[in-house]
Amino acid sequence: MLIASAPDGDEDALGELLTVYRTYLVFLARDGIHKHMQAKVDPSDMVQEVCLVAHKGIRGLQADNLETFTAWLRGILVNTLAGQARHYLGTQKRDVRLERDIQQSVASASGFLDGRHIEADLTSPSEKLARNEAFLQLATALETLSEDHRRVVVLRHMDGLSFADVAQTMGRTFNSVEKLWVRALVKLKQVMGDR
Amino acid sequence: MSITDDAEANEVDDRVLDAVKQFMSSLDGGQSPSVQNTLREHADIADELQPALEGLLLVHGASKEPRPSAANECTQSLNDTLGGQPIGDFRIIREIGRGGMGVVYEATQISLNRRVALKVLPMASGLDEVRLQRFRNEANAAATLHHTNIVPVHAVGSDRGVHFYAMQLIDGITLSNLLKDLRAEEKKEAAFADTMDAAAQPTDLQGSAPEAQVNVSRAKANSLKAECSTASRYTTQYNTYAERRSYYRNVVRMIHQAALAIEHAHRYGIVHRDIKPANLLLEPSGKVWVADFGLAQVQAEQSNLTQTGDPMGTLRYTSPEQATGRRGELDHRTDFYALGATRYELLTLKPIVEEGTFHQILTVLTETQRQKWTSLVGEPAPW
Repeated sequence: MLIASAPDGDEDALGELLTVYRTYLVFLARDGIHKHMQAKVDPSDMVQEVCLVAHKGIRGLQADNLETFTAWLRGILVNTLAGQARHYLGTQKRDVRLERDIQQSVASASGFLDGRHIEADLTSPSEKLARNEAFLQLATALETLSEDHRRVVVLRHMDGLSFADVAQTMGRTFNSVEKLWVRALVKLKQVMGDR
Repeated sequence: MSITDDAEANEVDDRVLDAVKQFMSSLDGGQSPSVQNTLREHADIADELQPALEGLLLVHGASKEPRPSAANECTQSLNDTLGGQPIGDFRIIREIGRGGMGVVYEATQISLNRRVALKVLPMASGLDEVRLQRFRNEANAAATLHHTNIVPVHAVGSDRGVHFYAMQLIDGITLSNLLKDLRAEEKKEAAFADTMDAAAQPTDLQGSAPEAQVNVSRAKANSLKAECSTASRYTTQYNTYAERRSYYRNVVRMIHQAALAIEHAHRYGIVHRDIKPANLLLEPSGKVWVADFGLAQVQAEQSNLTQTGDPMGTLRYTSPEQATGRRGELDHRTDFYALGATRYELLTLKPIVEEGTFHQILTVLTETQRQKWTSLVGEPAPW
């Protein structure tokens, strides 16, 4: 398994893993940027930075499963976002509250991606792998959607807003948001395919 | 972009929209509506409807918030709602604990045929959609924690408006029960002659049930209690130097294990926010488990201070910033404080804050210097 060779300094293995995780990280980064900085920060830039840090730090990582590895990547992402937010706010000071808020929203976004699959309580290794793939696939599919489609799904299903609140947040009418939502669901299904 | 999306959006048939919304509200009500049946009901728009419903299933957690009516029903008569039927994938065997946080059952997970501890949350109407979503996200994040001292979360879900949290069944007692035993033992020694009083103690224990899971069969509980009593005979009497030393060592060992677990969670951005003896489980082997990660969100709702019952239970271990409601300042350090308060109590057998009204406790928490624990029990053995 890739994760076994990555901490031993197999750069290729890590590179391959990071490719798989890239859209997942982009999705989390986008949500974090959206919630904590009004800046025009490109999520891909953030993820690039995360990958660099991951390459440097992989040797110290004790990960024997993908959950640990995923959580480790999330931790790096939180630090990266917090650094960016500090930069954006023009402060050098560490802000514990900001870091914690970012941490929580990243954990929450990742819980959302992972959420549907825990219900089924998958315990066999192959099921676990399927679950790992499923949250990566969902992240990838959401990243493929248009900005508006993604936002309506994220606001409604991840942040748990009512349609009225989604409409207000997106500056649209209630009716158009509801219909946008149905289109987004259809698109999402198309992107995810028939699995 | 938004112009095209609007144009697209306008193409959505109102009947499709209504059918998708109806489907979602069934999901929200904790039902599992069938896509096939819904498509059959709406045969004329089935082609448009199908991908929308399937897309919805991709992003809609199988469990969503109950409708208000379901929530009320649930608090009114949890048992009636359950009606002896399985909750989701879980068949209840027996109740093993009850607290402000809900009821803990020993249950069988039907699909895997294994024993679990099933915590059923009393979802009051106070839990709105956003909070519930936050709880699920948090619980899901907590479920990704893997640590030898963290009770693994198997599943989070809801069925007929009842929300549950399934975790590994741990064979042990909570540290709050251990504390009660130790105090009872101490009391017994103090009032040596009064055997009636001593006999009454175990009954009290049964009455004030633990908040975390206590997954011990009655027989096991008794044997464990016997063990603890034996242990406490060596510990609380402080008869000899060696006995005291051994007890302190054990406390430090238990707290150390809990600290490792908490540190692990912090590294992944998860703060427990409700560390207390009732959430720490002790196995007969001496291993300590931290339970109930991801539940603090709901706990805060439930153990609201206006509620009757025992707000003390949790408040006693609450950090000053948490107690004064300065939620914005709440971070991982709140767990350190609570673990410290727990250690204090285990070492001294006295709560760090004495009984009192909410306001008294709050004053003590925020304005008083802690007494040095050595002033309460004398100097620790100088090992």
